[in-house]
Formats: sequence, C-alpha cells, structure tokens
Amino acid sequence: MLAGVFGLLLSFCAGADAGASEAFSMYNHANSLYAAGEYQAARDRYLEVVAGGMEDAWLFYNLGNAWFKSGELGKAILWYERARRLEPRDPDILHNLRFAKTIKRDRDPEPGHRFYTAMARVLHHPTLDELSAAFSALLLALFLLGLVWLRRGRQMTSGWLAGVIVCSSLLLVNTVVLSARMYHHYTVTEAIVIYPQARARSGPDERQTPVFLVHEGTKVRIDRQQEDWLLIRLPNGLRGWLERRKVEEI
Amino acid sequence: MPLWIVIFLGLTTCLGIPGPVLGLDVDFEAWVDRTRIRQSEPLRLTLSIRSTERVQHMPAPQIDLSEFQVEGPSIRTSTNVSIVNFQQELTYIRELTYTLHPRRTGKILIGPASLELQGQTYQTKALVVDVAASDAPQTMAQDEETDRRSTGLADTLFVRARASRLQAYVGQQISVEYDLCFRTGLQNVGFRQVPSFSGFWMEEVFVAQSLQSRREVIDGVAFDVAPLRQVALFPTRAGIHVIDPLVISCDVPVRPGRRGSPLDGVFDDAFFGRATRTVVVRSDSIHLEVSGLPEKGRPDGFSGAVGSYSMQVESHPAEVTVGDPVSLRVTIEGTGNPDAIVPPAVQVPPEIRRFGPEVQADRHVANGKIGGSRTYEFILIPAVAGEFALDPVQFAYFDPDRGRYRVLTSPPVRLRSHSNGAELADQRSGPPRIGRGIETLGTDIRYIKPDAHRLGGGLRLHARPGFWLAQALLPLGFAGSLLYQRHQQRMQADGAYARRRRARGDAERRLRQARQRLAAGDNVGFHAEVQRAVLAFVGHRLSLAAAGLTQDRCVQVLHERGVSGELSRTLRELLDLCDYARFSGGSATVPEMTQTLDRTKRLIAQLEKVI
Repeated sequence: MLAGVFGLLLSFCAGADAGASEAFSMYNHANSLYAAGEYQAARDRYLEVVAGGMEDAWLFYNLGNAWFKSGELGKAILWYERARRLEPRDPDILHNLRFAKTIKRDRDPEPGHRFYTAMARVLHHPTLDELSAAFSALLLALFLLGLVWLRRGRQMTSGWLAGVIVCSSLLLVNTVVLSARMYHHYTVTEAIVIYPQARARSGPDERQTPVFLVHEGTKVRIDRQQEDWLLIRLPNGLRGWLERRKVEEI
Repeated sequence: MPLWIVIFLGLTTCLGIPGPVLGLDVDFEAWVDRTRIRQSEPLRLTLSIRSTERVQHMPAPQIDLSEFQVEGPSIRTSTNVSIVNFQQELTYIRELTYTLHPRRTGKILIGPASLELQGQTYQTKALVVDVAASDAPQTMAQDEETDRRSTGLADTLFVRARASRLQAYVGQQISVEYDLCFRTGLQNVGFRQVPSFSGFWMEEVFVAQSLQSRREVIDGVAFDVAPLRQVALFPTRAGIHVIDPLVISCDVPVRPGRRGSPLDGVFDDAFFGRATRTVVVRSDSIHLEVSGLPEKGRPDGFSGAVGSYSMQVESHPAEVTVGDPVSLRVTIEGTGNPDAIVPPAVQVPPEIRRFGPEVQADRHVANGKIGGSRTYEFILIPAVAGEFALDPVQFAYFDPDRGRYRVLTSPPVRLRSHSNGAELADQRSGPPRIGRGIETLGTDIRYIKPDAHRLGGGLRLHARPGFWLAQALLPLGFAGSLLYQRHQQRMQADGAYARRRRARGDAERRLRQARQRLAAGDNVGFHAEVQRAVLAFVGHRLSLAAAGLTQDRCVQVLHERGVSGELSRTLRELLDLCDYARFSGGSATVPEMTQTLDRTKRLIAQLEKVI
C-alpha cells in the first residue's frame, strides 16, 4: 500500500518520455559503428539521439568516448561531465573523465582543505532525482506517522517517537542538501573549453588585453554573458572574457 | 612731467594695470634651436616679443611656414626685471614657440616674421635651416656637443656610463647604468640615440620616465645625479665589445642676447632666465673584454646557463593508485639569464608514462641584477604497481665568480603505486612479472556502455511542477485529517455545537418533507412542517428546547439577540401564516405554498447569518 502511494506520488509527476523507444535503436546502431572503429560516424549517430531531446548517462558517456577517439579532448571531457551529472557514481564515467583530465594541458587546481573536499563529495554523491525521491519518501513517512498519531490519540509508543525523530532529521538533512544542489544546478553555469587554446581577455572585445590562456578540456565557471562573449572564472579566481564559441556549457 | 603723472605711471606699472601707451619700445626676434637637422627631426622656432610696456591685446605675428608642418605655437609670457642706474626697468616678454617638421630637404628659408603693433611694423631677420635626408649621416650631434662644450656646460652637464665589470665570460651578466649628472636647470630631457648592444643579449632593467635626482659629489663637485637607464647585458660571443654612447638632448636655460653679461650667473636662475637652448649630451663608450667559457670540465647536459643557481625537486603524492598521476616539479632559480635555463632531463622507467613538462617562468630584478626561476612540472602515471626510484635530476651551469662549472643533483625521486581492481582483473590476461606486478602495455579509456532497451535516464523530478504539487498534498492532507478529527470530537462532546452544526441539515430535511406534503395536496401537513422547520432551526442555533419554543418566545429571543426588526417581522408573518393555515382550515393554492416554501428557505438562510 505504501509502495502504491509512493508510486502514485512519483507517477503523478513523471511522464513517459516520447520517442525513447525509437532512440535506443539509433543508440544501438551507433554502438555497432563504434565497435567497428568508425568513431566519427558513431559520434554523429549519438548526436542525432541527443538532438532528439534524449538525456541519458550511457548515451553521454558513449558520446564522450566517440569524441575522445576522434581526437577531440575538450568535447570528450564535456560529455563525460554531462554524463557524470546524471550518474555521479558510475565508475566508467569517473575513470574516463579522470583519464581525459590527465591528458589535458591545463592542470586542475590542487584540492582544498580535506573537510571541504569531503563535503563537496558528499553533496555531489547522490543525483538530484535520488534526493528528490528521498525527500518524497521521507515526507510520506512523516505523513503516515502523523495519521497513526491521529488514529491512536496522544498515547504513542517510543517506537513511533523514534520514527518521527529519525524521519524529521533525515528530512531536514535531505532538504538542506537538495536545496544546495538545486541552487548550484540552477544558478551556477559551468562550461568546458573546446578549442585547442583560447586567450581570455580583459574585456569583451578582440582588442582588449589578453590576460591568460586556457586549453581544451579546462572547466570554467560562467559569471556573465554579453553578446558573443562570456566572462569566465577559473577555480583559482582568474577571470577573463572568452568568445562564446570557444566553450560549451555542461 | 607733472608729479601726478609720474605717480600715476609708477602705480600702474607696479600694479600691472594697463595704462596708455606713450612710447612703446618693442624688440621682435626669431630664432631656431638648430640650423641643421634631419628631415625626420623636429625643429623649434621661437618668436620673441619684448616690450617695455604691457600690451593688452598683442596681435599674432605673421610668418610664412608653408615649407613645414606646424604644431603650436605654445605661448609663454614673462616679465624681466633689471636695475639700471639704481632704477628698475621692466621688460614684458611674450614668446611663441612653434614645432616645425620640414616637408622637404635642402636649405629652407624661414621668415622674416612681421608684427603690426599700434601702427608700427616690426620684422625679424630671415633664418635659413639646412635639412638633410633622414638617413644621411650627420654631424649635428657632434656640432651641438661642441656647442655644449663651447658654452661651458661640459663641467656642469654630462652623462655618466658605468658597467659593473669590464671583463666577463660569455653569458655572464653585466649591468650597465647611465646617469645624467647636472648642475644646471634642465627641461625636456629625451633620448636621442641609444646603443644597439650588438653582441649582447639585453634585458631592460630600468628606464627613467622622469628625472628623479639625488645629490652626489663627483671629483669634489656636487652634482644632481638622475638615473636614466639601466640594462643587463649577457655577452653572446667572446672578444672585445664596444658599447656605443648614449645620447640625450635637453633644454638648458640661457638669456638670448645677454651672453657675457656680468649678471649671467644671476639670470641662470629659472625665475629670471626662462629662455632655453637645446643641447645634446653623450656618454662615453664602454669597452668590454669577453672571454669564452672554458672547454675543460664542461659537464654533459650543460645548456649555457651562466650565473648562480639552485634547484629544488619535489613529487606529490608519493603513493598513488595505478593510473593516477604524480606531479614532479623541478624548480631552478637564481641570478643569470632566465632564458638560458632549459628543461632538465627526467629519466623514468618504461612502466611510467611521462607527460609535460608544463613551464612556469618568473623573472625578477634584485640589486640591479636580472634573475628568475623556471618551474617544470612533469606528470608521471605509473602503469603498474610497485616501487620506483627515478634517476636524480641534474642541472649544470657555469659559475663565473669561481670560474668553473657546477652540477646540481637532486636526491633520487621515489614513487610507489598500488594496484586497483581494474588492474587485478586485467592480470588474468597479462603475463606475470615476478616481483614487479603485471606488465601493463598501455592505458586507454574504458569501453562504451552496451546496447540498451530503453533510454532516458533521469526523471528530473526536481524540474517537474507536478512533483512539488504532490509533495504539498501530504502536509495539506494531514492538516485536513487533523481538523476533521477535531470536528468529530467536538460534535460528540459539545451538544450545543452539535445542534448548531445540525440545524441547517435538520431544517432542510423538514422542508423536503414539506415539499412532499405539498405534492400530496396536504395543506395542513405542509404548513405544520414549515412551522416545525423554522422553530427547530431557531431552537438548534440558539440551543433552546424545541418543546417550549412558541412563536412569541422565538420572536422575543431573536429580539434579545439583536436580530433586526425586519427579519423578526418576516418570521412572525410566516409563523402566523402557518398557524392560520393549520387551524383555520383555509386552503392555500399550490403557487401560494410554493411561494411560502421559497420564503422559508430565504428566511432560514438569513437567520443562519445572524444567529
């Protein structure tokens, strides 16, 4: 019964993705092209699936592989990052992303304090869907505990009280993590440099002074947009304007 | 001249008030700063108008300058004071300075300039300037240098050139400084000719943007000394090198037409002598003897670095999983030409893949010497598990102070890598190597994901409004359940509350029965049901016993509760109508009873609002 209610809550909002059944056949065809070593043809097929509006970690991962085998390191890292957002714990995605980053020219910054690194890892461990489902489940559990309380009056058992405390605590933590993740998801725009190298300038104009050089595969944060220029920020705080075509949002 | 006129003229003169021009004495002159120039060089033409009276509106002089591109004029006015026979004489000076760029070569005639002032025409002498082509060899500088010496400026103005050493090795740093030493006022100091420093790698250390002078005693004479330029030179070949002089030009104050006056010393002061003359000053040449680096003892890997260096080698982390990167940073820093530092050789065993190096360069100047650092970062990725000891990193350079080569050697770099799960899985297919783990032949990305029967990973719940609406239903449902339970409990515990809540439903039920009586044509029964419905409604709402509730009592209670007279009157009329129909035996028509029924419903609705 609980599963039914929970399923109802989820199914209330989840609609069937149109075209999913047609997309997987094209995806499988692209896989066969990849297996035959026709990486560029496979890449084009994967891109067709993506153009149909499909979002799938496996699809993004395979597309990253196709880009990698085609010699496009920046694009490969871009699609691995997109895949990781959907499946943050997939070992294949993490391995290939780490491998691609060891080859790229710009080094990633040194990790910060252990506490913050661990916090960031915990925050990004579950997916947004998992956090949302957990939120729904905990809320439902509290609702049912509340119904028990209404039915039995105010003489409740210690088990009921423990259930309320545990569910409330978990719901609080879940809400904080979910809020932080949603804030990051909807407010922070990250991108990957897809040109072999790009000069960031002091202003949104070709005549402005170059301030630093970034190479393909480097992840940047987008702070502002102005026409065809983006104000990017590196993890070490460096900021500069880059042409929009030289990066692609994750 | 009457005394009052003398006083008036004296006052107007002292106070600077323009007065009537009685006898104006005007001296109109023109001069150029040089008479021989190259075509690319600018020429300064000055028109000087000196008058004994202040002229309120001085007209502009007329002069033909069509052979030049003209900038200006810049106008400068001053007042000159002189004492003649114990009497003060004032001279008003107005100078117009033009900057001229000749349009052609050859001799060019300038002027004469003319000035019309109060009906008088004044003229200057014509000037002739000899303009040579830009690339033609010229001796003007020497001429003007001679001019500087002839004017006695050689002891008060010169450029000092100093080298930190006159003998050096190839690649050894030599610092050369140029200072301007002067004991006179200076203006418009600028470089005319800078040495080419051929045979040297040159790094600029300092170039003066403005004169920042200090006092210094040179050969027993105090000078103002202003640094002009400092360079660091690195000889690129052995032999005798001659560094050309540095040539500057500057304006020094002079008084045109007053040369040789006993008061020249007084008028050298900037306050009095505002007229200037451009002179050219050159430093001495510097002769350097450069020796080649010795062949004896030259180590392998020597790349030409000469100076004093230190090296630091560090790796991080010391232990990694197979396939993870290790950063090996080699930092070489010291005094000398930073560009002579080349990446050191880092030898790694075949089990380790090496990438890089990435280079970070830093350059600095300390005590007038160029120095800097180069940091080379190598990425090492162990392909197998085990312990590795890399060969020491070496860097060779020549120490010119000791005259011999030195080799910096780091301690051995040790790395440790341990296996991961993937490597263990691969071990089944690879040939084992005793004591060194599995030999990895290469690394690559992992293979693609397999075929799928459906795609579309995430539900993106957080992006669906329906999801959040569904979550909102749970607390709302709980709140509704809570309210309903409270309602039920009160209905059981509170009789008055229960009667009030039931009053409307009970009245409607009775009115439905009245309608049935109406349909059956039961006139008396209809009115009895209507009367019971109204009285029971009032009784339930006000918690009154229905048995003792009469028409008069009902109206009285409503009056006590503040119900309006109109509503009470309607109630009374309705109840009277019911009594009349029940007990008089009069028969009402169906439309009348229907009207009574509607009237009753409206009355109950109105009463519900007020009681």
